[in-house]
Amino acid sequence: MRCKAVRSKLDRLSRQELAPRARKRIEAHLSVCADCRRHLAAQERLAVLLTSLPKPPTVPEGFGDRLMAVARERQAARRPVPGSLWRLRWSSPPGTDRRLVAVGRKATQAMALAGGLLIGVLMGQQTWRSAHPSISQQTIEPDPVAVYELDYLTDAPGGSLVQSYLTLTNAPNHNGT
Amino acid sequence: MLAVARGDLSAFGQLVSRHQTSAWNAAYRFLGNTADAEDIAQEAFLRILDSADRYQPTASLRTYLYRIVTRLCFDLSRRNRRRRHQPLPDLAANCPSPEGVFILDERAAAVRQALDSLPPAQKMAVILRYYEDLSYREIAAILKTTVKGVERLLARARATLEDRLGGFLEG
Repeated sequence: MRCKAVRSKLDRLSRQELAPRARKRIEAHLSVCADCRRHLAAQERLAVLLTSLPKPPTVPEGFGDRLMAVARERQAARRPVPGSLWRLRWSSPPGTDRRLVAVGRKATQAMALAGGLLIGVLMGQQTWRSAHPSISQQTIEPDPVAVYELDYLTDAPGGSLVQSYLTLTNAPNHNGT
Repeated sequence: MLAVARGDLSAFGQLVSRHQTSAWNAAYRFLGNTADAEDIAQEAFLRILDSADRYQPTASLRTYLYRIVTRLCFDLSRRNRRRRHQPLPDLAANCPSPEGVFILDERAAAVRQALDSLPPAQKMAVILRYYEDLSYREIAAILKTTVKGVERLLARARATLEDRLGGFLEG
């Protein structure tokens, strides 16, 4: 093992945090490397120096009481005010699982999206139908002969102007122009 | 934590009693004064209270608490870069001779200064390792890095500290 890799693990070795295999490899390296042994000794002296610092002062008196007072204030502020509609609607009661609220919101958003898509599809269908009417939906134009009581013209001789007119008006897709 | 998530403040009180020393010590070691340390420790517990219903037991509560304390300490130290330390506690009770007191004071001041010279992540890694006695795995979870990452942080921190405290390390 390289010295650099060994030295980075010396502290974990001294704290017995290494897996057995890694520990054996490092101990084997230390048995033959005086530099790394000196490095380990220096680390141990540093640890002694660092831990010689005085202990911090104890937790200030009343810390817990002051904290609990603030915690009670925050909890009270989160409770909905009776009669306040918007608070009831928009704020979750204490203890409400916010994950459930988040799922509910997502479900509502998904439904709104689905509804919008459905409306769009229906509108698209309507637009398509009006642009491409099927034969069964085509408006059947009334027979002009019947509408304008021109029955007497059906007796007109063949090839006459009247016959030509009747042929023209009775042809499919005639629009009268 | 389940009880705290349901709004049980007495459960929260028990949680505070159990962990307040850890939060306080880490914050004090990092920031060096009681006022800031109390603010940070208090805020850390309140954040746990606020997020209790979202707490996932993927890490221990102690790890979660240290993580919040660490983040708050980093934020505050960025804002207060030149905050002065409070005077060190009185050491005379443990060391009767005046020379002994002077030496201890001088050494403690040097260690404190050397720690303060470290970048925040290295400093917190040293605090968690040497003063809170946490494992590398726990420190990695708190600092959101890997065990190798913690090895690197501590290796760099040790190199700086050995360089600055060389005179106190001889022998």
